[in-house]
Amino acid sequence: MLVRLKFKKEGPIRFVGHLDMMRTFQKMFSRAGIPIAYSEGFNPHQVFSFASALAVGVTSESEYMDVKLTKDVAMDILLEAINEKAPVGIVFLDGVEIMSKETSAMASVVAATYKIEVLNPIITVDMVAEMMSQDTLMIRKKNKKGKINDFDLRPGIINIVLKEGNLIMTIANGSHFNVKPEMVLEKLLALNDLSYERGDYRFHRVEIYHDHNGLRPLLEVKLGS
Amino acid sequence: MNKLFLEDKILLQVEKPARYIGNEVNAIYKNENEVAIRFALCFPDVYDIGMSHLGLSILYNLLNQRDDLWCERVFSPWVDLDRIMEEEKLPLFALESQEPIKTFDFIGITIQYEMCYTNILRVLDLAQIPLLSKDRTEDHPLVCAGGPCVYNPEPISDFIDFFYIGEGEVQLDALMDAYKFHKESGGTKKAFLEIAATFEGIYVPAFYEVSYNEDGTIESFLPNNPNARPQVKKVIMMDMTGSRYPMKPIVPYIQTVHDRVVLELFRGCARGCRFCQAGIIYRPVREKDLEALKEQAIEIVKNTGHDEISLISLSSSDYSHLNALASHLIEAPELAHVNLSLPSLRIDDFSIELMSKVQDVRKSSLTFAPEAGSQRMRDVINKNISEEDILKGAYEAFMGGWNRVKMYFMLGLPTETEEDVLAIAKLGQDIVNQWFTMPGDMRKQRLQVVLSTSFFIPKPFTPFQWMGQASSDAFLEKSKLINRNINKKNIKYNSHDADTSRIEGVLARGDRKLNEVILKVYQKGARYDAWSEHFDVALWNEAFADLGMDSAFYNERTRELEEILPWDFIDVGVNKSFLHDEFLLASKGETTVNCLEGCTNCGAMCFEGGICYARKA
Ligand code: SF4
Ligand code: SF4
Repeated sequence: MLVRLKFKKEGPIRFVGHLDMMRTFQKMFSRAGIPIAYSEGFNPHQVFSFASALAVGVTSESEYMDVKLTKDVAMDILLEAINEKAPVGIVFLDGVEIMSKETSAMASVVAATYKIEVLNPIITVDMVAEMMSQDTLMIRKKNKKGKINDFDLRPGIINIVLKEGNLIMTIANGSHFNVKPEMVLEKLLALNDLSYERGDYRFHRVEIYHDHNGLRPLLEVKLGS
Repeated sequence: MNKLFLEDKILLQVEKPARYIGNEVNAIYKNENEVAIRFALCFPDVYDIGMSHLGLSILYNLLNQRDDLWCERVFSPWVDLDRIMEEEKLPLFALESQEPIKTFDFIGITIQYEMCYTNILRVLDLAQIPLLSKDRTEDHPLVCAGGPCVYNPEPISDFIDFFYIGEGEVQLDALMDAYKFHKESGGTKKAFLEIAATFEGIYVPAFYEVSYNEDGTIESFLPNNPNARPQVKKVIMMDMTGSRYPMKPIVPYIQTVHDRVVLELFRGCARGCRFCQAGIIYRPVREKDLEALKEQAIEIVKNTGHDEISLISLSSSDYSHLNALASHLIEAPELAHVNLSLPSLRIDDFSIELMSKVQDVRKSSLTFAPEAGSQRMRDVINKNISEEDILKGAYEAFMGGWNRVKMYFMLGLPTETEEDVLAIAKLGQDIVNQWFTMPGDMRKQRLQVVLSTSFFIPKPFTPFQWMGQASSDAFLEKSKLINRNINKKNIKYNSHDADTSRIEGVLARGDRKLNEVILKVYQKGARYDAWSEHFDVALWNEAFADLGMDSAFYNERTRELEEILPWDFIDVGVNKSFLHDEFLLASKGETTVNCLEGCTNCGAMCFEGGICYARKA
């Protein structure tokens, strides 16, 4: 049985990075005693994957993962068993069974919404509007090999608004086109000759989407179960 | 539980911020208003190291079993955070409550190696607590320490209010009861220390007076307080099966040195290698019951979710029921996805079958610690392995599929000659030759032999406690000699840092006069001396020079038998006369039977249990 689970991550555990979250979840699943599948080979590992890595320091109300089980388990029982053993700050909220043909969460992610609390209020509505009126927003980015590329951010910004001191942005996310919220912030500030200080912002991921007749949250799977 | 002491801004700047957030699975949270005693349990090194230490986990569990006490963890902030905390004058905090430890009742420090002494001062300093015991007031925590290094507590006696010599399980509880009673009745610190001094195993340095001869050796070492015991005897658990073991150890978020369940099979070691302090100070061997271990393994796996179990004891393969235990751990259905790792197996009873059952042959390397290259040298140190055992073990391992071998040796052992040093290189080559005696189709992979040498450091409570340590120059000569004489094609050679070994040698057998040196070195900026990339020997050399002291007095000098040694006031059960007899046998190159083969009446029988009696039963 394949399931897609939705969980939130909040509190101090936001400082636990992606790889450590993988280890933490492996141990959590073992403690919970759920019938998780293991891969073949000399060093079998649990079969699960996260939809999208969450950066250190970022909280989220909608993270997703696909998990393979060796037996069918009722969703409420599964969620309860995991929640009982989850570390502080991780709560599993919901889940659906997915078909084996469903594209994996990781491969299907296209966008994500972030809410960014602006602690040092220097960003204005006008600044946001001005940025969005540009046709291109070029930035320099180092690729994995360390080569510096110029790349246009603009098509990756799907929506951005400043509301009650929070910047809410929906941006491209995933393997095809990936924009990080801090790239948008940096650009926004640079256009106004301001510099970006990580400590001035608190990042929170609100939702992760795949393309399923438009942007839909990952839990709304394409192939009905 | 959601509180963090450090601002996000800081946590986002430092490497591995998860070191500082607490909240791990099985971390213990209590209501601070409902406890009478706040205890900060400190491992004076970075989180990743400290969290891998079993002793810390045992004490954390033990102390937190009391409802009236909240024991929390404190580690040394890594150098990046250290700098920020200093700049911003942030006080060191405990991981659980995220509150500064300067208002706690106790700071209890576990001291596992001498090179962390400057880190201890750093912890106190960052905590904003005066470094010297005498400068602390009634408002400051009591600072206590335990662990193997406190078997010679003298070099740090000015910084620590009292030392606990022995195993925490025995009477930490009684001590906390006494403290609670004392606190409720509003007594002074000194009054509490006077009570503590009456407990067996407790050493309050302020209650002893040391005078020195003109040559710097100790003239007398005497109590100056009626409550202080002239001899402080270590306290140890005799019933290991019944002792409280952490069934729900904390599961760190980040990768630590040991990211697994650890099972303690026994305490003490039966072997009696003459250079080894642990082999003496933890005597006698006290085993845990097989059935209890089986149950504990399953329970701890269930409570942590770890996928690996490791057996840790000084010489794990000496455990009487090792095969039964290993089979159980491999076969129990509850442990289906759990691997077993078997460290410190001895080569002489090395079982390829067991090893290949539990380890991925292609990935693991085989570790042997013959400690010396020549048979003569191994006899001197009473390391009971023959060359034949080593070569046979290596051959069997190669036939079993291993192609990586690591071997550990010591340089600068007493009576060592050039021939003994060269024998290390030769033994490495003999191992390589074993490989080539295998049929060609067994040798598809590349052989890797790694020889590592450390420098011998004479330690208190060993038969070599009177011996001079070789100088740094002599050490370097020896390691160069090996380096020149190995065939680099299949052998890789690593050597420890000679300067670190020298300073460790100084601290290990130091006296009270070293307090000043350590303080000075700390003030000059020494941090993380146990980390080669941070250790700066120049600071130590300067400190000795500034104080007009000679470090060779402590490490290179050979002591007279009559000399009062700084640690003589501690009674580990093993008699000084036994150590001396062993020293004489060593000088003659004669070996001694180990406790498994026979009893040599070392004195540890006074604890009335363990192997001294089990063997006879
Ligand atoms: S086997 Fe030897 S070196 Fe190892 S702990 Fe025992 S006495 Fe020490
Ligand atoms: S008294 Fe005998 S058996 Fe006991 S530790 Fe000493 S030598 Fe070993």
